[in-house]
Amino acid sequence: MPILPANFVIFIIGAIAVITILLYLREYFLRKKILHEQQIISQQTRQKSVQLLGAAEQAETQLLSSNIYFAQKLESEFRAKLDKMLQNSQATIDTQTNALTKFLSNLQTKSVESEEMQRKTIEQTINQMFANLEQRLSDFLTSTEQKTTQSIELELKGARNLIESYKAQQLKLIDENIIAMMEQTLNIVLAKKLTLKDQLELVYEALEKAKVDKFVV
Amino acid sequence: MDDLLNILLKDIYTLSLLKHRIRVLRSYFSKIFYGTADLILKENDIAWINALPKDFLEKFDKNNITQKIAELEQTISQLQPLTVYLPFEANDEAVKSIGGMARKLFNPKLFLDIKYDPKLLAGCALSWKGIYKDYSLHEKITEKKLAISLSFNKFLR
Amino acid sequence: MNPKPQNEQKEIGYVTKVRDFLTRLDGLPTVRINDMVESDTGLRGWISTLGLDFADVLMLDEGQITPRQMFKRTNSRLGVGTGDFLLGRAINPLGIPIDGKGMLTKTSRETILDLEQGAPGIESREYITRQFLTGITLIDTLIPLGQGQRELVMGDAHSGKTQFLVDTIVNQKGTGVICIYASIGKPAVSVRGLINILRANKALDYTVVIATSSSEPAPLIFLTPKTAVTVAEYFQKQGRDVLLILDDLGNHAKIYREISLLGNKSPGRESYPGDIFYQHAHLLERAGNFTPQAGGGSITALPVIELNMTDFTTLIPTNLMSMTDGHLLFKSSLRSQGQSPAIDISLSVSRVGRQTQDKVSNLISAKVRQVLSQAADLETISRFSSELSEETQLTLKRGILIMELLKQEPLTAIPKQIQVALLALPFITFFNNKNKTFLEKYKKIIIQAFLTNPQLSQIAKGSDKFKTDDELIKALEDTTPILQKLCP
Repeated sequence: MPILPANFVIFIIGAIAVITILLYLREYFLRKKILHEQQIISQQTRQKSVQLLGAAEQAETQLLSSNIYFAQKLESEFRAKLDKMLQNSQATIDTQTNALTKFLSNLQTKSVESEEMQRKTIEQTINQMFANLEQRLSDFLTSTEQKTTQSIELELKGARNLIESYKAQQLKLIDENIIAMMEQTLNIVLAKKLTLKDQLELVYEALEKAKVDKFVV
Repeated sequence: MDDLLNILLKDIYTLSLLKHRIRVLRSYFSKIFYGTADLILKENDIAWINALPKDFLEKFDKNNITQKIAELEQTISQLQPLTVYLPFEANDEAVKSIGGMARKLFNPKLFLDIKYDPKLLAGCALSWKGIYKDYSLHEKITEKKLAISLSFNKFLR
Repeated sequence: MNPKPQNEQKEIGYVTKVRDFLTRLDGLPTVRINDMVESDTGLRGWISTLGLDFADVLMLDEGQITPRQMFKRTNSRLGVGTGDFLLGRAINPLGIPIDGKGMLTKTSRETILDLEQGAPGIESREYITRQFLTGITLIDTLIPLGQGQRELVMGDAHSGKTQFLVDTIVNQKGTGVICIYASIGKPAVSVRGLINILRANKALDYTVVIATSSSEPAPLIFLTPKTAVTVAEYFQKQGRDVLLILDDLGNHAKIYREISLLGNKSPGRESYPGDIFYQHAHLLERAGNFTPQAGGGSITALPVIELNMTDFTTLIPTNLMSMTDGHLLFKSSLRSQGQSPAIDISLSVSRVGRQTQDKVSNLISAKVRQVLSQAADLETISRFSSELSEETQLTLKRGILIMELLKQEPLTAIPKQIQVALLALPFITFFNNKNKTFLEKYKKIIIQAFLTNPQLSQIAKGSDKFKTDDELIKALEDTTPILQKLCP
């Protein structure tokens, strides 16, 4: 690096320093001006606002007084109307109460009449029912009686038939076996009753018959 | 042969008794001739032998005993017995009387074969030479079966 | 109820000798052979021998018999009640049902026929012209049977005889033939099995089974074939065709030998009595094809005899061979080689069947038999020599093909016309280079084709119209393309 002359360097540095100081001074005077302007603006604002406030207060008092006047007027009107209405309603109530009492008394008489009528009809129906019941019961009883007698007869007939068939069967059995039964009885009886002599006599008879038949030569 | 048979036949009527007698005879003779016997003789057998006539016994001797007995058996096998079915058990006396009657009626040399058949209720059934005839009460009842059952019906209402 | 005549006489006899089932009676003066007698305890028997003064009775019921027991003569002779109610039933020789299905008939419309009847004479018989179809190719083509023929079925044990008989019965379905099967002294189990098979194949409706088990009294077993023939005659007199199977007569002969030896008859050859030939002959003579005057109908008899090691030179087989119109020899060795039915074609013969076949079938069967016998001769040569001529090879091949075609599963039936066509197949050129496995694979298909394919079935149906077998073979040659299509 070439060695710059020292005087040049000092000159440059001195220039820069002078410029810097000039700038700084300018800045400072600017700022002061701005502050001053600011102050003036704020003063002006304050004044304006006070003015506005005053105007607003005036308007408010005006409005309030008109309002109070209207309110009073309304109240009196309402009161008149209300009184009229009360009177009307009172009248209607009276008429209606009368009507109601009249109706009630009507109702009472009517109910008494109907009660009477109802009692009569109930009495009638009950009587009729009883009569019906009696009739039905008697019918039922007669029919039941018939049915029972019929079934009993049927049963009896069936039983009789069974007995008959059994009897017939037994008789048939006996018929078929009567001979065998008889022979068995005879067997027992003859073995006991016939003496040897009797038996021998029978044998002789048989032998003689054989002779007649020429069975044995 | 015939008179041998006649003597043997005396008083007996059934074939089985006849065969028994021949056995007794053979046993007796074998005891006498050979010293052994296959049959122990009972009292009535001994009595019968003793009751036999002497000349009858003399006919038998050592040589001809077997031959004679064989001949006897041959003759007997050709005899036709009359089979009698009785409804009762016959004792000796009854057999004797029946046999006597039969011999009187038919043939004095007739033999019987007694059998027991309780199905014949009374009377007897006879069988001769393979033909069987029923003279008993059972047979009569079977014949009249119809009539009897009809007569029972009388007892019904 | 008629009253009995006065004091009826009965003929009786007394027991003089008893030995097992033979009883000797005396008495019974006017009794005849085959009259029935009954003891007082209800044991029945029939008179088998008459002597000067005795009668021998063979007992049908088992029971105790004491000496001098009485036997009376009944008014009946040895007979059996016959009627249409017997179809589908199994009975014993006395007509008593043994199949547990209850009484035979509610009504008593039964005809009691004597078991012992004389065989009809020549004037009642007709020339046999109709073939008896068994449904088995081997029989119907090579060893044909006729309606009314007697053909002996003989073979070892387990050679397939009973299976063949069952097949024959089952294949009679729908033909109107009544089948009668007599099981003589076989175990009850085998009879049961047979009835089950018949029922399963719906063959029981036209079959009557007459069976005795080996535990029954010998006289009862002895009566079995007589009853079978009597029942067959009943149906034959109604004009029906009957198939009669007697399984087996060897047992019957043994039983008769037992009875005769007991009755002290002199034993002859092999200890059989002298009249053993008569016992079988007079039964088989009652079979045949009968004229309308004798009832029409026919009885085709298939008696069976079991051989010992295929030895048919003993007494009973030679007897039966001489009294029948041919025989079928079953060999168990063939059966184990897979042939079914296991019939040795060269040793079997049917003397009557030829006249029932039409011309073409006759020629084809002659040709087939020729090929088979040549093949049998050449087979031994072929095992030794390594080079065989073309002709020899062709004959051998044809022989193998024919045997494969003749094999038939049990319980199958092949219609008659198809059989002839089938057997003509090995002679067409299509089969010249085919072997056994080919047929094993395609046999069923070919048979089915003969039933369904129009050209083939036409040939089959019209096979009896050809004049010679060569015409049939030529007609089948034309079907080669069809066969090629069916059997790729």
